[in-house]
Amino acid sequence: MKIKAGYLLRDIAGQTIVVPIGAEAIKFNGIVTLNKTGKVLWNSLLSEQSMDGLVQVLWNQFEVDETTALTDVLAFVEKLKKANLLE
Amino acid sequence: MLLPNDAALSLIKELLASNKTVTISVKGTSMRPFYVDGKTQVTLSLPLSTFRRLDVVLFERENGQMVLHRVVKIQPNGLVIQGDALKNKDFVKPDQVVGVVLRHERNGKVHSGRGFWYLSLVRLWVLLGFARRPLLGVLRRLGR
Repeated sequence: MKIKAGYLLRDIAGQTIVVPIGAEAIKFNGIVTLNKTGKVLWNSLLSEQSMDGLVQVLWNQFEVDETTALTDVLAFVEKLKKANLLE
Repeated sequence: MLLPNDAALSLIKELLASNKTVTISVKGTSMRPFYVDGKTQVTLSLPLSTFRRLDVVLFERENGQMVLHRVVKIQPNGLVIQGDALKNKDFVKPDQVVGVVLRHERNGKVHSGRGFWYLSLVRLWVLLGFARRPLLGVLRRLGR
């Protein structure tokens, strides 16, 4: 899986915002924001990734155990799927 | 999502400048009865080359405050802008205007900013400006 084309990350006031650059209508209510972990996962997902690969990324970058990493990855991927951001 | 004004404003400006429309939720009660705090969403675009009276615009006060109010008068060197529920007015230069409301939406119902019935009501409201306070009181009691 990977992030669909046409999105840009913008750091604004301590938050990372996903901006759909292709869209003509931007709805601020529906806009996705990322925390630090989310940002790392997002950037990894710019190229094709597996669940295991993502868990590995978190494991390498943050001091977390594998269970926490897996839970975070699952929750994040679920969030992206819901927002229809994955392909 | 809540963003500090200055941050949101820079992003909104940038998105509008690239010819996108931007939809935001209305905050505050200064545009009652037409816009309701937290319930109305407005869709903005870049201002047209000429401003039209009764359009609602998003503008930046000199102190950086971001305000969504209605153009009540057009003058050669700027605009007189007023919140529908307010008595005081702002004098705004055209370059302080960030965007203009194309339409607003509440409870799933969409109203064009230039719709006939909506504009008629707005005209009436502006005309009855002296009676805003009591009228708003009545509307509040009616739960509107």
